[in-house]
Amino acid sequence: MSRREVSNNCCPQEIQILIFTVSGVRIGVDADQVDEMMDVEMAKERGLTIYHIHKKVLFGAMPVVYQTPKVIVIKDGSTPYGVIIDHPNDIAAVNVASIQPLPRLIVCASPSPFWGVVARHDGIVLLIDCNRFSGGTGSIETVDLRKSKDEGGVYED
Amino acid sequence: MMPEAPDGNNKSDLILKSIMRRKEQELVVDVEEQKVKMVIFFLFGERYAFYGENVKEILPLMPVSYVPGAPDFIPGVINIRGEIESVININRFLELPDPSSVQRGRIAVAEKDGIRSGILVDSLEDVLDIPLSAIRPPLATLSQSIREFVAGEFVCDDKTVTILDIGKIFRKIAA
Repeated sequence: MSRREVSNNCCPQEIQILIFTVSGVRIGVDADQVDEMMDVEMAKERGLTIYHIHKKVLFGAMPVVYQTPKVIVIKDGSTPYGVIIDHPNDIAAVNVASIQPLPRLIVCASPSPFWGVVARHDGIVLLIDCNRFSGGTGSIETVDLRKSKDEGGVYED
Repeated sequence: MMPEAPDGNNKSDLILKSIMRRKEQELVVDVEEQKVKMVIFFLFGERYAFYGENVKEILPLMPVSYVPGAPDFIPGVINIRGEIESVININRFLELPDPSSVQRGRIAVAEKDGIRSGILVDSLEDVLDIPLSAIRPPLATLSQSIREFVAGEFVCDDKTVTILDIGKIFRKIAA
């Protein structure tokens, strides 16, 4: 939900979700949170603080390979920052009524960066709030942009 | 002609009366003895059971969507007719090895105290009605990782079945 709707105390009936896939996990972010999308190099040239999505959503020890990385620019207040995502593949209209909270055991067992989940015809999409990201680890300086030998993508562990 | 009993009754009638009396006694025992439904399954080659009242349905294996950040014993979530439910890998939760083959694996959808989740089991054996009197306290020799979640045990086909308490499992995870 964008800050605009929250401040108006009005829950929208439908939101636009940018859906992308990181290591097989389908993740969606409210399109209202995304200012723009660009290549990683351009984001670096702009001097943006950039985070890897997999480090923010705690993929843990699971190796993550970015095949077609892009940076989505999140405008949180007055300071924009970038989040590297992979395989951006859809912007879908999602009926708010179809959004479910994460199952209780997952929420209770460990803090989750996901706020909801949507069951779509093509699979389950975990919803993330990028406004909770700013600060912390996973900055762009640790990224090796050379393509890995076997995967043909940017590898980050 | 059938030989007569000393008191004059036909022998076959006596036999039939005896059979009827025995059946009446059995009926009385069945009505009085409470039974409880048990869902019996395998974990790492051993028999375990859940109370049937806590198991809402049994599903075949289905794709589990990984949820980053979830604990190791929760591999992810599944879509059950539009409802998203978590899945517990009970082997990992009880610190048992994962099965070598998952072909016969099943997902038991369990619900207790307002918490609902799928539970991945190695294979399903049976669903039986067990007399309450057949349930006894668990053996003290059970491993520590399992003991706190055991509600009791019973014998079925000469083999011990350990009853797992779904409520205790859920409370432990949600604590």
